[in-house]
Amino acid sequence: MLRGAFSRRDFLQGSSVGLAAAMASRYGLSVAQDAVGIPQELIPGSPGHPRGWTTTLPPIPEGMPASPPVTISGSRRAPWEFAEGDDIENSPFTRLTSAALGINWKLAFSWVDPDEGLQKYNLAIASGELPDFMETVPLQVYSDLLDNDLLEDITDVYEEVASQEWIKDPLSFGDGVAWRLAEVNGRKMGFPYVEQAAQNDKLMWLREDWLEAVGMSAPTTIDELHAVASAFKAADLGQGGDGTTLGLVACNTLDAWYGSLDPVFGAWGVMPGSWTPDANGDLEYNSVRPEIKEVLSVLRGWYAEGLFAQNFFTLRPGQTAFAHVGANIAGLHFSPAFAAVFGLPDSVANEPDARWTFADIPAGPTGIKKKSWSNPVPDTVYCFRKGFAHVDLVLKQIGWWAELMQNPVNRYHGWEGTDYFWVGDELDLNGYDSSKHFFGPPGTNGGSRTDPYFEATWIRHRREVWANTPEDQRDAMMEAFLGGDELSQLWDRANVFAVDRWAHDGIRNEFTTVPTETMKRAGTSLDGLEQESLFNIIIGEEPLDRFDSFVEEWRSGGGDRITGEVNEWYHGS
Amino acid sequence: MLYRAGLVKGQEPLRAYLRRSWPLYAMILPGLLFILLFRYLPMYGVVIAFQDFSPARGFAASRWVGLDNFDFLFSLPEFNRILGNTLIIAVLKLALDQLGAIALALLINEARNLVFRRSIQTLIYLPHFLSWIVLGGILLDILSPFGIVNNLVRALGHEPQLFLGSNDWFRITVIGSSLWKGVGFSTIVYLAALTAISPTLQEAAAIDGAGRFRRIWHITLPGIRPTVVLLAALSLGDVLQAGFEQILTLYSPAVYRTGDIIDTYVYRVGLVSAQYSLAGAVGLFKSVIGFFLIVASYWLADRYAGYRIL
Repeated sequence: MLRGAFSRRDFLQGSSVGLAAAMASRYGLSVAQDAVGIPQELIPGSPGHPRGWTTTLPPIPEGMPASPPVTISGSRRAPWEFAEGDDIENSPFTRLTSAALGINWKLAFSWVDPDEGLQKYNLAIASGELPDFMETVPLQVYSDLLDNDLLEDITDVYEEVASQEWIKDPLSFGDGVAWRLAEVNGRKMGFPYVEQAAQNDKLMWLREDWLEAVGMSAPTTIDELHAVASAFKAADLGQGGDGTTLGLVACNTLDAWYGSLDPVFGAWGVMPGSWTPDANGDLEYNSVRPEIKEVLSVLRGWYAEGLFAQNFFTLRPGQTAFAHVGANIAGLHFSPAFAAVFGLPDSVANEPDARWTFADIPAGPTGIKKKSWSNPVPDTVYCFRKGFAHVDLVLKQIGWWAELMQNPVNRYHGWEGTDYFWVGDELDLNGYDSSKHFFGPPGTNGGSRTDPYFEATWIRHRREVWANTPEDQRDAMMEAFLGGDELSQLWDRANVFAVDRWAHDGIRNEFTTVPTETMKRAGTSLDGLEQESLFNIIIGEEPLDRFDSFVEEWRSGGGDRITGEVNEWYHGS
Repeated sequence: MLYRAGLVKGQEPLRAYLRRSWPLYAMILPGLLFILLFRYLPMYGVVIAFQDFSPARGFAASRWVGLDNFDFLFSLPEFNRILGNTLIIAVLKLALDQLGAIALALLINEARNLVFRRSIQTLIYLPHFLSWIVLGGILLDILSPFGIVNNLVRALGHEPQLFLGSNDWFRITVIGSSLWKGVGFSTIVYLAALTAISPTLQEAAAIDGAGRFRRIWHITLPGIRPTVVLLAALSLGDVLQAGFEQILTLYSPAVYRTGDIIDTYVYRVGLVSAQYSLAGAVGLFKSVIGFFLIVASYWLADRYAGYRIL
């Protein structure tokens, strides 16, 4: 392939690399060497294009590339697609990792859906052939591995080699909640899987054009919310048949990932299903707190007035995105920032004049404004096989890639041919995210990073640095992002908005460990009792006072014992 | 005949018999091995129903807990409810599916026009090939408050109903939709049995002056009686299979009272923590009940309908 003429950008890049090397040698910095000697075609970026950009590789960690190269086996969830000729063991990621770090990845096994993953992990355990590095080990497999002493304790290696700036610091968010599963009795038995901050934190999504039609503004209190929802319904602004417009979206889960009611409960300071400290500092199960009864009486009234779909409690969260939001029979819902690209696009496709906006959640009667806090650490961990000798290399790899991807000034946007394509001087971003093919964070299918603020950092960078770059100096990638369609711009804004409120507006479920003994035995029964009682109260099948007998039944059916066990764990940890 | 087929061994020295017949035994051997290896050997796995099974320890080293898993299952506060729902839904499904299939097969059989018959047959067994996941979404839509069914209900001057959200309707919806999905496929066997009835009998009866219903009653139905008895007997083994996938896609907490079955309950237990052993115990429980019912119904079929497999 013929490279274009040596551009000004190449020159700057080359000189900065040279300068850094010169400085490193002058000041005797032996910490790292530069990424010289890595073939250009393995490095991300498109420096050869007229409106291209250069990706800066971070300094290679000390002692790397490993010589001789080390082969490490890993399990992983199967990605969906590859560029021509690539596969999981031969992708842009594996080629660069091999050249820069001397690590060759070998696939032990892969899976598509979670059940298959569970089976393959169990098979690997039974056959005694665990991979060196295990991606997203399900919780039940993790406990089994721990109980049988099959995992490598990485505490000491972690202390020694993990990058302070790109691993240790970012993972210290939220009082160390990142380590809620990976750390056992003070020892690190795995590496945390971390999703993005506020990923499922709700915003209030509103039809701006409907607000104008009824002459109201975005509600700031629960009372105003009720007024707006009633007005939407009364004006019957939806696209459906007569009388089908809804006031507010809800579904079969009270604290759902879409169309949720959690900010309504939050307005009274409670969150069904969560454990939070009471006045004495003991954890208390929120679903049996008296405030829940107040919220139920409000929701019951709203249901009776027809603000919710009559069958809302039979719909899954995702179904509301299509049946209510996408079908334009609702103009008000509590959903995460990604609603801008899930649900809203259908709405706009069905009604091009639909104008959506988001606002902060409303406050309750006493001014409380809370919502469910989305914990970015799901029930899964990256694990290392007991006796695996190269934990240090994997940790260094994680740190190096985290620096490359998570620091916006490095300009990592993946590779041409996978993440983006050139169409003349323009970029087509409809490729796929090549980080799905990574072994280990900060990639992997599902989007694990070492930093929960990764996405927000990037959005801010785009909105502050890129947007302030004079138009004639922008490259094609900046152009493509800044010129994105309205909904993706809305997504970015909503994302940053939610992240800014993540730390203080969330009700955190403080019970973050594996289920207790009584939970295992009685949990399903109690959950069933709770769901059945709460929903039947809301829809008027049961009287409001059913709540009191539910609380009684919950306590005597094992709830009191669970509370004891939970607090034993809470005060012991 | 019997002698030549080697079935009457006594009249021939054993050695001579074996020398002549060994290829037959050799041919049956792979099949037997297959069944042993893939059907009988895995039954060893039922031991996990009596263990606190952990994949890392395997069958051999997992802790033995005796009947604890069964004890847990039977002492659930909801056990009576989920067993009752399972039985009601499963038995009604089985009975209506059989009756519906017979009725449909008779109707199709009586139809004269071949093109009409074939197209009806194809149309009614197509739903069998749809998965409940797909069908669940469709049902949710057509049964919703403003779906076509409720629009029809409204047009007829009645109150719309929550077919999936009300305890009065949930079982009816489940059984009805399962019938709609499966009955066409169940007719296939009956239609095959119907073609085996000699037309001469029908013609003779017609000449004797028997009308259509008389002929159905005295010729067609007795003609397919063995098939009916066989299928009914076999289906009794499914008496605790109320349709896990279907109910999982259609139910919601508000209808747990009438719709929660053993399988969906155990599925929810598994969401809290992996319970291989409990799932194993439930599977064994259902199989044992099914086994006894099959044996009993086979005995009944033999006794009252003179039906035997061999």
